[in-house]
Amino acid sequence: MTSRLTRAAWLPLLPGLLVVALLAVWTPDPDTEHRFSWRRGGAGEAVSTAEITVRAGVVRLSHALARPERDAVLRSEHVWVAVPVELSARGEQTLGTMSLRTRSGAEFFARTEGGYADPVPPGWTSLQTSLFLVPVDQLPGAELVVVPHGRDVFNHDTGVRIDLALPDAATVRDLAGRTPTLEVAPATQVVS
Amino acid sequence: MTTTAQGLRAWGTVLLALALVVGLVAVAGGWREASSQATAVRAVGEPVRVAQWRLVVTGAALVNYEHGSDYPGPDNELRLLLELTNTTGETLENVPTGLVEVLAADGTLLEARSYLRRTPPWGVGWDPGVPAESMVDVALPQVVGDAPGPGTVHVVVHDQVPARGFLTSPGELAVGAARWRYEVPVADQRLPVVR
Repeated sequence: MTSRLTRAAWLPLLPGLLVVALLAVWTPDPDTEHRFSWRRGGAGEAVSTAEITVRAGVVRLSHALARPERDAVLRSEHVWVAVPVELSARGEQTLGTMSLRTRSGAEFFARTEGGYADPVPPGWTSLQTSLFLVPVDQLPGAELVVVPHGRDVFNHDTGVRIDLALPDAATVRDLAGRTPTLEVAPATQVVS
Repeated sequence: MTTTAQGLRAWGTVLLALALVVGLVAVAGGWREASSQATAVRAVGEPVRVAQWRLVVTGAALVNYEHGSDYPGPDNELRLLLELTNTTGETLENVPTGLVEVLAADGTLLEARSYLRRTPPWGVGWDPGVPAESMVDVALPQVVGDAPGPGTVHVVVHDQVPARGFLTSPGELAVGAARWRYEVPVADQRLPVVR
């Protein structure tokens, strides 16, 4: 009788242990993996997650970037990519990592030559130009990737991927040849 | 067999095993005097590769001005110039501290005055597969005013190895032992100080 009662007392723990085991399997290792589900779109489209809306405009390409504050022009055999980005914030964790991801998976973070982008407070929209420097052959198929700062407790988050409409190397060379020197306006923020 | 004989035999076995170990270490070269130059020598302009970087030491200069400035300051510094290529799959914002060190001809470590960075007016960060001119300034406190500077310095490049310890992440790297050494001529590029 006593042993039956003891077994019955342990039984309610089993569902809890099962939930813990399932969470352990489902949650990625925070040290090695940050798992994303993606909201995708194209240039000009507004792409939203629960916390942000991102709209990327038409990219400009060039082999030279003006830095008027340094009285310098930065020339490269690679291509400067200027992406106008409108980022509206709803949640607290809005300062995401902005990068250009190539077809091969290489990740180019936004460069600082055009200035640093400030965090976007909830209720505000940032208008900025994200700059990247990328070899010509890596640009076809490239996407703008915006991921949230920080992580949810289970290490699953939602990010934004926007196709930059650079289908092939010929298009990249053509666009880069049209702009002798890129000039980038500083970022501004307006109330949404 | 007596107890004494058994004891002697046991001691003999232990001594024989020790002699065998010492002999093996000797054959492997373990008793040779340690070399103070355990690094491989590279010529200026010759690349070396570590886990995340391809590095080329391209030159060194004795300077008394900030990079890009025309105004000489009171202190002399040694400016080491390198070409760095990030060989990983994503932009890196820092070169690990201690990966590259500059030593005086007598082996004294020269203290860095700045982080190793991309040469201005370039901004922060090394993009994957894009070779980038980079620099670091180190102190030369013994070279005061117009005193002649060192003719050469030694640049030591360390390896990158898997980090060890309980608080490290999988795949984390640490700066390892010195692997390569450059002997770099120093060009005197100081600007005249108007007094």
